[in-house]
Amino acid sequence: MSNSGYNSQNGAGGQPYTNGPSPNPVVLQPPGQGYGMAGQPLYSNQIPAKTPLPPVNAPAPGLYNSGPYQNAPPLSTYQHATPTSASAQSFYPGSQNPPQPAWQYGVPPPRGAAPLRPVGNHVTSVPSSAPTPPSSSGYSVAPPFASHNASHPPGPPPPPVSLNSYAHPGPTPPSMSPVPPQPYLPGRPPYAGPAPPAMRPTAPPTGAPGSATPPSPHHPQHEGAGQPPGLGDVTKAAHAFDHLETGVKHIAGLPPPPLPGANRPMGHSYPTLPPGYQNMAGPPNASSVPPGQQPYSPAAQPYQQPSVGPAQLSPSMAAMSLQTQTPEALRVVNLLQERNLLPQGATPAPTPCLPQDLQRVNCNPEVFRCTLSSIPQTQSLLNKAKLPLGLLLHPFKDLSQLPVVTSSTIVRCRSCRTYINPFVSFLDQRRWKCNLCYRVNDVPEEFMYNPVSRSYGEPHKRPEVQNPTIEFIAPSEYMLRPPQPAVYLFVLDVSHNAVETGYLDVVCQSLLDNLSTLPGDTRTKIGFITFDSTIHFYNLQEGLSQPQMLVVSDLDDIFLPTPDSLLVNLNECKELVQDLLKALPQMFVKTMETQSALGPALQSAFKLLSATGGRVSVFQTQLPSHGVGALKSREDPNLRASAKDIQHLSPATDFYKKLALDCSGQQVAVDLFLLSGQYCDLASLGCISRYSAGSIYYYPSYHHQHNPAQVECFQKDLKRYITRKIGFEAVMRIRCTKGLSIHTFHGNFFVRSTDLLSLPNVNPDAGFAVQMSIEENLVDMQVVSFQAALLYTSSKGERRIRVHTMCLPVVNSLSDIFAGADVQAITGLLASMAVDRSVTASLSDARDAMTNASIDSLSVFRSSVLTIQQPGLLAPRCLCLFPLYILALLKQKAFRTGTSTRLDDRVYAMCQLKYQPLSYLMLMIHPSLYRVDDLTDEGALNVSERTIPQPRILQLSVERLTRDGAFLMDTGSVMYLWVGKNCNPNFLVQVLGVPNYAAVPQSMNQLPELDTAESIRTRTFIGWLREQRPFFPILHVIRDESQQKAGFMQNLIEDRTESALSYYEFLLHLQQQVSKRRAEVRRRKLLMNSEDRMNRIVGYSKNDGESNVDRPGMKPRFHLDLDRTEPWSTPVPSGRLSPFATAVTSSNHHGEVLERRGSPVLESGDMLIGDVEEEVATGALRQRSQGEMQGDGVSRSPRRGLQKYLSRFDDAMRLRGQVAGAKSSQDSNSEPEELDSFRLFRLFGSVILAIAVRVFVCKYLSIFAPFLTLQLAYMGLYKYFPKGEKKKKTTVLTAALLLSGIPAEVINRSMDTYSKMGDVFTDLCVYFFTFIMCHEILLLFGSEIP
Amino acid sequence: MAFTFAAFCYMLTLVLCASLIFFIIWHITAFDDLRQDFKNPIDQCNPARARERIRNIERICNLLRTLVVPEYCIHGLFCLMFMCAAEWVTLGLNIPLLLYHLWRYFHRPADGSEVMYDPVSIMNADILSYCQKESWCKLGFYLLSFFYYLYSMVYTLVSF
Repeated sequence: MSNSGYNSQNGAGGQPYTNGPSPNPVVLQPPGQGYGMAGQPLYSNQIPAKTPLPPVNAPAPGLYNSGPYQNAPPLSTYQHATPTSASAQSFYPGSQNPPQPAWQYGVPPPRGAAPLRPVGNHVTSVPSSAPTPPSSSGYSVAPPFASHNASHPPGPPPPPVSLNSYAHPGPTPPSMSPVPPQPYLPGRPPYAGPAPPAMRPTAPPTGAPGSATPPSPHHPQHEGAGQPPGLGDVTKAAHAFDHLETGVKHIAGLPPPPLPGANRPMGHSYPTLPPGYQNMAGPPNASSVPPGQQPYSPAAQPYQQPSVGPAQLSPSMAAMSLQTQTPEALRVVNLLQERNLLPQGATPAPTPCLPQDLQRVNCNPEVFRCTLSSIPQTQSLLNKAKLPLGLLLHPFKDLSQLPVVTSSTIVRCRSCRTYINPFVSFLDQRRWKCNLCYRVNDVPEEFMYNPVSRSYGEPHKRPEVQNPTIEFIAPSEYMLRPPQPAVYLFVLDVSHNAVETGYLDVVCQSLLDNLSTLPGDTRTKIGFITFDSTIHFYNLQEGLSQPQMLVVSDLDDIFLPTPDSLLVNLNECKELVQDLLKALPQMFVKTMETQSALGPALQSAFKLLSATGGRVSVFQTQLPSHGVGALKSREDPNLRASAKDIQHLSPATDFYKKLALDCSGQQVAVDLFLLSGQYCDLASLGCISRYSAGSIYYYPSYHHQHNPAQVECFQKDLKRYITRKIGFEAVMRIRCTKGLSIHTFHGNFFVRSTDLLSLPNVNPDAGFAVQMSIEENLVDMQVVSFQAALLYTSSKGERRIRVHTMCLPVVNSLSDIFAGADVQAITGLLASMAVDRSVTASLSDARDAMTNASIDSLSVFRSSVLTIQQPGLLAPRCLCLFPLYILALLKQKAFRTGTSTRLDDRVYAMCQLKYQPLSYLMLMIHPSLYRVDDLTDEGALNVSERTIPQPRILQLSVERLTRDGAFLMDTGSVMYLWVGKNCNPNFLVQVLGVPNYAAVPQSMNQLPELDTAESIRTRTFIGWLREQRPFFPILHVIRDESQQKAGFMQNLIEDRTESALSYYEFLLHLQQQVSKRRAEVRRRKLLMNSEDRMNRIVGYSKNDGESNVDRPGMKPRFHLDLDRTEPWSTPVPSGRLSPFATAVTSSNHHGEVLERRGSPVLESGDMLIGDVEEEVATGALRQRSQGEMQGDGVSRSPRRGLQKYLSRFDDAMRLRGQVAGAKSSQDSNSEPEELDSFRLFRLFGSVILAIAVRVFVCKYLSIFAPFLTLQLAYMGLYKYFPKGEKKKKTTVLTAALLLSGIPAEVINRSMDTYSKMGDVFTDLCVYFFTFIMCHEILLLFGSEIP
Repeated sequence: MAFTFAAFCYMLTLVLCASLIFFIIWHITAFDDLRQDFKNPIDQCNPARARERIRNIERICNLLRTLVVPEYCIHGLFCLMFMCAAEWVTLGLNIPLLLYHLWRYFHRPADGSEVMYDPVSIMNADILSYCQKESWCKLGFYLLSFFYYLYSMVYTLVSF
């Protein structure tokens, strides 16, 4: 079956439920990195565990020898003693955050300790439920949750108490009641009908009793939007458990729960699954189909059982907090004050708020993910939200369980060809309704029979309808020609430079080792080409005694010397191939040829493969210099750092692109391995892989002696590359519900049609991104679906279709959209978009666009979603990492400026951004920093008998480093182990195997295998990190003097560098921009008001009242709009922040800095100090100046009577300033008034108009007519013209009005109206003046013009 | 009745304008051609069909590209001629399009030979729809200007 071919090298990470009980269960468990699966799977995995439940519960009482209600005391401590949980509860807009110690530099994160207790509670809860299972057989359906929940209610002790009662100690049960009990229908209920209520039960005020909870937006099951399991969601999760529990209990027939209506659909559906199916109904991609796969489930049970244990709690809590998600995702975070926002482990994907039965079968977010897990109803709503809408896919990911279906007919919609999926609705047994185009289709006869349960008449229980990810083995009609065999061609550079690097040995050796594991069947073919300034072919025909080399030196007209014997069957000619591989490294040792004819070599490779298709692996070590496709060096090393805008990001020639298209047409993919010390023009060379769906590997300065770390990395990558799964002649089509449309693709492929990607090869490490727009309003839809279907030929020569389907809810309010925002996906998509932008426009453009994206979304959130305005930079909880990620992107190799970056490195980083799947991409964008010198087994993960410690992820800042520690930074492709100068000698000896710090070698790339607990822990941890990705990260052990230190420091993105802002400065910049935008919006609103009044006077009705929210001149698409680009990269003078914040921050800074003075990283420390001092200075300055002003006002006022009036006037003006919101944020720095070009234009226009009217039309028309038309048009268009920042003008008129006692408020309102009337008046004056002048002149000259 | 240079200009542009209209119509059909794809899964998933399709796209793009420069040249010629004939109004009508053409030409992808209509990106829906809209607008413009030239030609021939 399908599992056979899986290379689950990175599979282990994806299964959080494989966790075992941890030795010390009291400690908060960081969620497994594979969170993606944790949400659903975790829950559903419990089902198979049904029968073994008793043993599960049994150990718990043993561990915690407690009676059923012993948990009461811990609970009370829980409520009182954990400050974090209290603050976490205050996410409701109404409640004020108790000011957490702002911006906690150096303050030990409060999270570490606090959550322990809540978890402890959960733990203790286990025993409390222990007595219940015996009471009912059905209870065991949802063992873990039930058991945890029951313990929670602090007040009412009896077992049936639901968690709701925890939230409301009173009996108020309204929370869950909107869900009507849904009787289980034979087919899943069509979600148009009963689903909505289930989907949005109005979230109950589940907060802590007493906290003000406004009716929260409905996002009940919004799972874990960026929610770190640390800060207090523990409590919320607890609520969620309760809800679940109530449902389950109800079913189970326990004593009637307090909420009779609280049945969740899933509660019903599970027990009714056919017995044969129950084992399979688990994780979304749990195998369901062929009976052959069933043995898996029992095998998996040992893993699943322990997961019931307490150690599992926190991940499961994060996953299970269904009901209370809304407040969590939308909880307002003041980014300027809360520092510790990083989640403890991996950031989970938010879970769309779908009815449970739909969510249960939704696609794994690691495979298929949307930037907005709630789709806006209309494009205008999407534009308003200013978040990009798109999908991120990892379609060919190695999955550990994948149902495979073989059937003669594949059921698809007849009009849109959608594959049948879990989200279709069955009208009756014979008809189903497509969820993408809403066509009603017939169920074919074969589909009525369910091979899993061997029953007839239950089409809705077929595996196709139960699994969001499924693979079909295509029947013969899907292939008009026989599926292609696996064909591999290796094109090797053997010029002098290449031989010098010594890569040939590695390649040949790896191939020799893995020749037998090369995916393929008996038809597998293999061939070799080497090239320098000529092309060498190798005749490997069976029967030859040794490989025969054929040299073609005519590069202008490449021909294949013996076309049929260059590609040979691997099995038949294995010896010859092995001979060649053994001989190859020695053959060119003495070569003096320095030229490289890559272009012709690729052409010949294409010719060789064009008959069959297949994979070409090109190894290149220098700039191609000979024949077609020769390139010239375009990089000027001196400009690397200084250049304002990076040139040469786009290809120099289209040769490679065209060749790639030819290859794509012939189903040939080209993978490029670039091992070069010098500039290789990856921007041009990369095209060959980009458009033929290949992959690119780049090993800068590879050398077999000088750079052993790279060699190891190359070896490991090569092994993975050779043995990984591969799909040939693939196409991928992405369909979405009618109304949505795809408009741009990102990744490596050729776009063959507007929704079809042509992928000559598909590999499991390729990711794709897609941008979408909403073309028709989705008003009457509850959910939309997306389906990605990948048709490929497996290496065994089977034609297969892998189908992923995802379903997302449609929402119609901005707050719901924000609540569903997936910050990682958004970042990934933005990165891809920015890569495109930097190629088509410029790098600075792309950088500005990214900054604007974050400013836009935050300001929209602030102005449209937030009801209560607070000072500071506010972000919803789900987007609180957005600015950090954007800053990380700006400092990423691909986009950074100011730092010396080699062009190839930059281009390679860009390729990675577009090509890597999101999970790996995030590490490249925002590396993880761990402290590793004090690894403990606390909270460790247990995977296949290994104990993997789980240290916290630290902020990427120098301040987190201490000289007495050792820190591991994981940047995806490289890992740095930074050893502090005063590092614990224990660590040095036990882990690094050196006696003292001075003995740490300058370059050290692996940890010695010592037999100490510390060493084992560290090595398992690093090994575990490595296993999670398909490429091999090198480990650099660095100390202060190491060369690699710069690389390490550059990744500390929260710190300031000489050319880039620190995180805090960046936030300040964002805040400034956001408040500027807000001021703009408000001013426009006021303007509209006054205009309204004006219009009422004129008698002219305004027709578009909405446009005041939309900024004028907006491009229709939100993304990366650059209209109002403020160059931000110049260090910004710290804008106004509340004095409180400044004070706190600066003091913290100071404390921090003092503490860090002696830290080994001095330059950054110094930078920090400078930074801080600057800030302190400005803060002080500002305070002083304010003080002076006030003092002056006080002393001056009593001088004279008139002064009194004037001061009153001043007050009024100040009030006016506040009301108008103009410059509310930065009244301190006065900008020079910009030239109002429109004003000039208007005056100029009046003059011209006057002349024109006098000269031409004065006879026929009233001379006023055109002018009045113009004025009217102007007033209509006024709001669309950019308006410069207006100075508060103290006009005589205003003064008079104020003095006459008219309230300032009123004056403010009418001020704009007056100013506009003034404008009109000016225009009229100019007009008449010119007209009269014109008239006089004409009279004077007595011209004959009439 | 005078056969001035202006009249000659209008006559020539009339003919050339007709050719431009044909260019544009060809463009529009080509984009339609690109957009339509066989919905039949068996057809589109067939590797042989893939080859054909990619060739097709490349061919269309190549043809489109070969038409771009002539079109721009012809339109530039219009402007030049109207300038020489001192037909300022007509020139003024054509200037915006001329500027647009210049902008379009200088913002093409940087790699060498290709003017625009890059086969690798043309199938992205937003680019395709942009190109389509552009063609329709141009078609309208050329049609209107065709009649305008006709009228002007008659006018210049008849007057004086």
